[in-house]
Amino acid sequence: MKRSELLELVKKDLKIEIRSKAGLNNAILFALTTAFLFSLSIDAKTFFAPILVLVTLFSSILACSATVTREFELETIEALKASLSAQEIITSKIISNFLIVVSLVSIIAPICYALFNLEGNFFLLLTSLAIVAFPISSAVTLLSPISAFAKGKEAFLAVMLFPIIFPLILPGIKLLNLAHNGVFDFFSALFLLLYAGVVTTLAQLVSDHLL
Amino acid sequence: MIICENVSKRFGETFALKDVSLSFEKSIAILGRNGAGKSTLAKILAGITKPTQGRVSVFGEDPFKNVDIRRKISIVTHNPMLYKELSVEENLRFFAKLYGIKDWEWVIHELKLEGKLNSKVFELSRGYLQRVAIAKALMLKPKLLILDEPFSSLDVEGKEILWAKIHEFKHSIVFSTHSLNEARFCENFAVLEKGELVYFGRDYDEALRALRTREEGSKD
Repeated sequence: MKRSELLELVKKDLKIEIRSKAGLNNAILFALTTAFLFSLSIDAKTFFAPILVLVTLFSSILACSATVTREFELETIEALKASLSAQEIITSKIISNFLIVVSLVSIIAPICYALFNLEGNFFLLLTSLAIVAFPISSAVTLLSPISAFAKGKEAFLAVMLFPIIFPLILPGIKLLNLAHNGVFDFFSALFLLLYAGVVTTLAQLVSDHLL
Repeated sequence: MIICENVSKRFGETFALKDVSLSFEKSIAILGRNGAGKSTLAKILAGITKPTQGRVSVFGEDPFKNVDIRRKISIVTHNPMLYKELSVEENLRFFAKLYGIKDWEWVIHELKLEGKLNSKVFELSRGYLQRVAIAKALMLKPKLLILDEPFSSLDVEGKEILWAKIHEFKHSIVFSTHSLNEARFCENFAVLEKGELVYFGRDYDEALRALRTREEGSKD
């Protein structure tokens, strides 16, 4: 696949997401409400890392599933399949979803930072959240086509995602905890990136059956 | 040469196509009532639907497996397959870039879409949606053009434009319709009934007879 075609696909997805705001608006609203409630009810300063991982996970499901399910609803997936292989389409969707999740965490992170009264290294925390976002966006892209025709897509997707996402939760929490203290946990980051690589490869291998 | 050999397509327990074999070079009309399997066959020929059984060859290659062959095929279905949040121009530009086509603006004038370029796709009437879908198919300069009931929502002007384009088209064409009269220009005729091929040949009258027999049979 040419880089220009990949870029066009990603640009198109982002443009549609910005215009429709369907996924992002819901995701931001969900993330902020959850973060606000946690900040009032528990010692959020101590538990900020698991809260951030869970908020990122569930808001990513809301934000990302639309990029794939929209293609099925409008049957534009068939127009894409007419000129691209399923692997190319899946790759472009993973990149689009990663960028959407990174935008999402860039909005959520500073607000959570303020709500939870955090005092650590903000930029390292943001970078670590982006690393957590990569395997999440790959996994959501992998499973979105399966849930595209289900009733209550997001709930169905969350249930299906759990076994895939489960191994990411602890390294994600560890990465964020240490990042807040100004330490970059190289091994957790490497694990998350390798996991994202495995999920991306799996998505490409099964893409013919998914799309 | 376009060849279908013993092609079947099953959705769950239902056969949309059953053991269909046909071949043609220039043009074919696929005829049949609603639910006969015309759209499924059109999508299989376009390489966007995989047959459950059988072999499809378009210019010597399987279109489902070969992206390069798929890029030589354009399909127009009743669903325009456009992004509703994007404008007409953005949709056309996106698909042109995807296919690496630089010279695509001529379709705007040919399909008389000048006044609708900045309209979002969700704002368009069905007739204009169909025109944009046809513009998208033609700008790709396909070697095989598949038209699945293309006149269904076009107004008189739209129909005239499309007829002119069909007559100008120099490559292979698949024309799926439930009206044999519209398909007179084709060299071959295939009549489908409940997924089965009940007539395939070059004789217009025979095709008409096969189509009418099925229609009368269904009324009884």
